[in-house]
Amino acid sequence: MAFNEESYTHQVRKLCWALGVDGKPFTLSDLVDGLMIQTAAEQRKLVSRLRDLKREGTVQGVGMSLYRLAKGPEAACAGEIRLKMWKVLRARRTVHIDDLVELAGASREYAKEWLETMARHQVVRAVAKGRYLLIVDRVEMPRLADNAQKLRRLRARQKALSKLGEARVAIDEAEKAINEMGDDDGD
Amino acid sequence: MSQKLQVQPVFVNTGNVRNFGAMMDGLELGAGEGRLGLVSGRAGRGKTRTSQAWHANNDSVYLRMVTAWRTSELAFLQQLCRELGVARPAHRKGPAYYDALEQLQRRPVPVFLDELEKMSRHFLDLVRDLSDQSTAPFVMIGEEELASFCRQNRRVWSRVFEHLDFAPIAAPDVIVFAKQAAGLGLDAKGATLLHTASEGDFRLVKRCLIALVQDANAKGVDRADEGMVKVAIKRGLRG
Repeated sequence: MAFNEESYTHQVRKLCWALGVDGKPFTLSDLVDGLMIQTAAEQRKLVSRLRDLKREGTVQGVGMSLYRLAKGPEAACAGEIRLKMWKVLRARRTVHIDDLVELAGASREYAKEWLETMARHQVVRAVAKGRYLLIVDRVEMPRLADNAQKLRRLRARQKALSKLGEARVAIDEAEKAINEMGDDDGD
Repeated sequence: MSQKLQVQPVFVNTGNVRNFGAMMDGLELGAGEGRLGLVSGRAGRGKTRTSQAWHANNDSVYLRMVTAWRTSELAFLQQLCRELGVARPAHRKGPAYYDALEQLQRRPVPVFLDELEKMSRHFLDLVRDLSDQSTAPFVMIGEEELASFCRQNRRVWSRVFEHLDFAPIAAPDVIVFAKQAAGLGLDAKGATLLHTASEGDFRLVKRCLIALVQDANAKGVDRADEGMVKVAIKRGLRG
């Protein structure tokens, strides 16, 4: 599975793998210490990334701020099937959806969706119904950022909503203060 | 029968597939001794598909030899380097060889070389050198003539850990395939008929099964009798 080695999420993921060896549980504090987090904002960011890792199946929550690796680092990769499909695609150059179902063990829907995404990113080209030709060949599987972009958009929306809330509180407080000042002037 | 039968893509664990797995296990056990595996057989017996399925599920390198490399060992070595993670392989044969060797010494993963019989014979010596010096297993895959190429080169032949000759698909495999891929029941007599007519070629068996399933759907049955198999052979194998 190809991860973005430089991303913060992958740093958290690698630390989880290191801390959770042999199924040992680890706490949020262990991660905070490991990543040398000092501010509350950084901690919130960590919690958000942990939520992503739970969603992708790398870690699972086993108690209050207590986590455990859900699967081994290899199997934990949600993209294990994607990697198999990529290997089949590179080996065959031209694949039919059925080839991916048969050789990579993917479901027909998933294989179709994956090939369509690849086609959108111009890695493959549809040559017949259900048959695709590899046009950009590289050893590393291309990181298709569709899902990551969706998550980034979600986070940005949450951030904007929280700022909006803070702004509303500030406006309310300002209005209240102005009203109070007005009342004082009247006196 | 209420539901229509359909031929689904399934990877059937035939005798050849099981033998292939056993060969790979053997090569792994002999890791560190630089062993060669040889897989040969007529087209349509599933050599490529089996090796691709193994490659998809395991850490390995798969290379389909292209005719353009016949006169250029450098192009082959450069592609091997790329597959092994060398971003910019050397532009001369010697350094490219050592780039590949270094990578294989670090990570001695099995390397599959498909359609190797298309290459000139001294490619076998190149493969032997790489395997000997890196201790990584190399699996040479090709049609029947590949085995005789290897036999003629004593130094290569003595290093072949196992020669796996892909046999024609057997009659019991035909029954399992019909059941797993389409849910179609086939008796031993029908399977033998199909097996004999296709000469054990997996592609032809598949083509015939599609015709058989269409017939079964038209008749609303989920078991094929001898007559249906004969019709399917006519449609599927003889055109």
